[in-house]
Amino acid sequence: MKRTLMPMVAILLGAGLVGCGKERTQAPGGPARVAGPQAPTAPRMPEITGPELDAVRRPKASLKLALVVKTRNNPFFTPMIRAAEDTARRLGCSLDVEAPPQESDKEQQFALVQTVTAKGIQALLIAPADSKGIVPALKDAQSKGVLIINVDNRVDPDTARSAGLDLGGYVGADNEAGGELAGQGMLEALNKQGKVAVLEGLRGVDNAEARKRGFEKAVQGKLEIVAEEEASWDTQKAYAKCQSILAAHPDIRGIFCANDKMALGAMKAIKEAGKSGKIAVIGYDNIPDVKPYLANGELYGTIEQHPDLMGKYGVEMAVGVLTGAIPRGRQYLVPLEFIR
Amino acid sequence: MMRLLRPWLGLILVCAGFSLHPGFLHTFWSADYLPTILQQAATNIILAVGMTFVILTAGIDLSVGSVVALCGITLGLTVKGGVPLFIGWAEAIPLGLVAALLAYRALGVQGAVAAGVAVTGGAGLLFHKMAAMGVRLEWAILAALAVGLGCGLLNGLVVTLGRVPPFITTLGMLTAARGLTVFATDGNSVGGLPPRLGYLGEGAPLVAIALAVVAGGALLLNRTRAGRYMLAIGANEEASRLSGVAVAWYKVLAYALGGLCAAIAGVVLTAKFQLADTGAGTGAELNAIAAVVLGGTSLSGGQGTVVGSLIGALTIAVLNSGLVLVGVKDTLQGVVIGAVIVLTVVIDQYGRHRAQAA
Repeated sequence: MKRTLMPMVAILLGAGLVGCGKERTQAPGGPARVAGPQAPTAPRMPEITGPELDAVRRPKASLKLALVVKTRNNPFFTPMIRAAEDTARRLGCSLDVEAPPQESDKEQQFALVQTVTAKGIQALLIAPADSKGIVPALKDAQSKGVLIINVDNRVDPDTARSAGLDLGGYVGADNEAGGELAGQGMLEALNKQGKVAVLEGLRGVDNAEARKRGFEKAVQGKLEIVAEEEASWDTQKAYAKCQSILAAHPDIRGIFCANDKMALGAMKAIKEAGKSGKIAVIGYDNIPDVKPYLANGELYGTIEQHPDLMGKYGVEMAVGVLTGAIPRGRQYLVPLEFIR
Repeated sequence: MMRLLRPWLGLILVCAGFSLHPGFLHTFWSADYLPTILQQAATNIILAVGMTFVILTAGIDLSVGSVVALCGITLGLTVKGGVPLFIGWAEAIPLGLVAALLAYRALGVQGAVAAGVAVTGGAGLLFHKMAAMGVRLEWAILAALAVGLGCGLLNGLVVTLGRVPPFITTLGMLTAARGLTVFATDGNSVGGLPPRLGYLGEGAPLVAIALAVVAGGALLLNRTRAGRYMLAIGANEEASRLSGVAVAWYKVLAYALGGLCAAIAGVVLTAKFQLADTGAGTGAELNAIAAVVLGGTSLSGGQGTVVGSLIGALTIAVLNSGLVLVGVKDTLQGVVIGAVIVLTVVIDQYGRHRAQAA
């Protein structure tokens, strides 16, 4: 036992610490419960336009910026990071990119915010893994004079307000509008009738709930949603959940997946059931992996929310606010597109 | 002697190596930043202390990360109201075990099982009803600690009485505890906890809790009979049994300590984020094992110290933040940390073989 245990542990350790051993254990199945949290009353920041942000000039002295994202283990963040790096270079500023190995590693993200703050940065761009939990670390950074720009997933406005955190601005997407766009795509695909299912992202996470809400709003009264299952943004889980949905509802005609990684799993299950082409699959994010499926029609469509623009405008906003070219507390919502 | 000094040597080498870089030198060695490292390491320190006892007895506990989440959710649901019945039962496991032990004297094995099940069932139902509308924060923290202790006891009982290898037992608990956590809340996290809970999760109180756990663990290991027996069991279980040590009893104790430490970590983590999160502690067991190994505790049991595990956890925290401070690309950081851990295990094995050969 001892002899076999040690190599096993060593392998686990090695794998875990380089970031491929940590998997969320699977949630037990069971029927989906539709009741989600209430729609958040997002206090609207005044909007700012792309050209206004593009007018930001290279500052006289180089600025030190940091971008902390949820994880690199999701192709969604790759274009965001690349565009942020390019923009920082163009504006003559340094940009330090940090990411926890897994999206679920909130404590690590918290520590990363503390560490980059200690490095002496002027602005922090944050895509929070935990909309509420990250607030104390951001507040601490702010009290050390760091400007906080929120990108992608929103910092919870109520928690921020009660902690005295004053966001310098927000760049991201309106996920509810994206969900609605996906719903309209589904209406078009099914000619406004039939049964559909939803594969959700992580329950309780703001963007997952908003996408679902938007989709429900668009199809309400026209399509019948027969199943809503959480697949936690995960391809494997989506595959398994989709198999059981297909078994329970053989007459289903469409599936909305709240991200493309889940759409990949759903399409595999549909293909194995011999139903390719009979069920319209709509994804979200337009990651490179879905290109071939869009081409052969297995994926009806997906939502592009331009993460590259989030990176670019996030950096421009940070530099603009620091140099006084842009007022604090503005938001920029990236354009959304339905890709077929 | 070398074994006692090695963890310090590792930490000093890591700090000294990083200090060659001005970015680290000027930021790290400041009164402002050093306490941050302790805060960042705190949960891992707490978990590593519990893990030390389990590994000392030549066991392993893979379940602590999931138990962290289950205890956090217990805390959240108990304070807000709406604790599921099975969490009430988990809280009641320690009481049930006490009842079983008392009954064993008088009624034998069957009586003990009956008493244990009856008390666990009854008390669990009572806890479930009592917390239906939410209770005071202090009681909720106690409930969370009881759940952690319960999970640890269950691990220990399955390993000793059930004779299931620790790896398998705790792997099962890892999956089951995470599953129960998700089931209890439908996958949602529990927020809106009392603000005074936050006090436990930051600054001086957080560090004090972690250091108190270390002090308690070190005293237990070095100054009590139980500590010496656990070391003896890890070194040679059969010899300990033959010389009259109640092996099963002390092994259960080791897993119970592991579970209790996981519960403490769950409470402080929930306090830190003011949020009981179903995904909390994912992969935390691996960091704790790494800290224990870096601290010089032998994975084959019988050798190790609690203070070593503290140093190991600090080393990991310094590595984590040092790599950022000196500007190693974030995509490479995991590789470096992983390599340091594996290298330490390799050296550990090599040293042991040489010692045996000599």
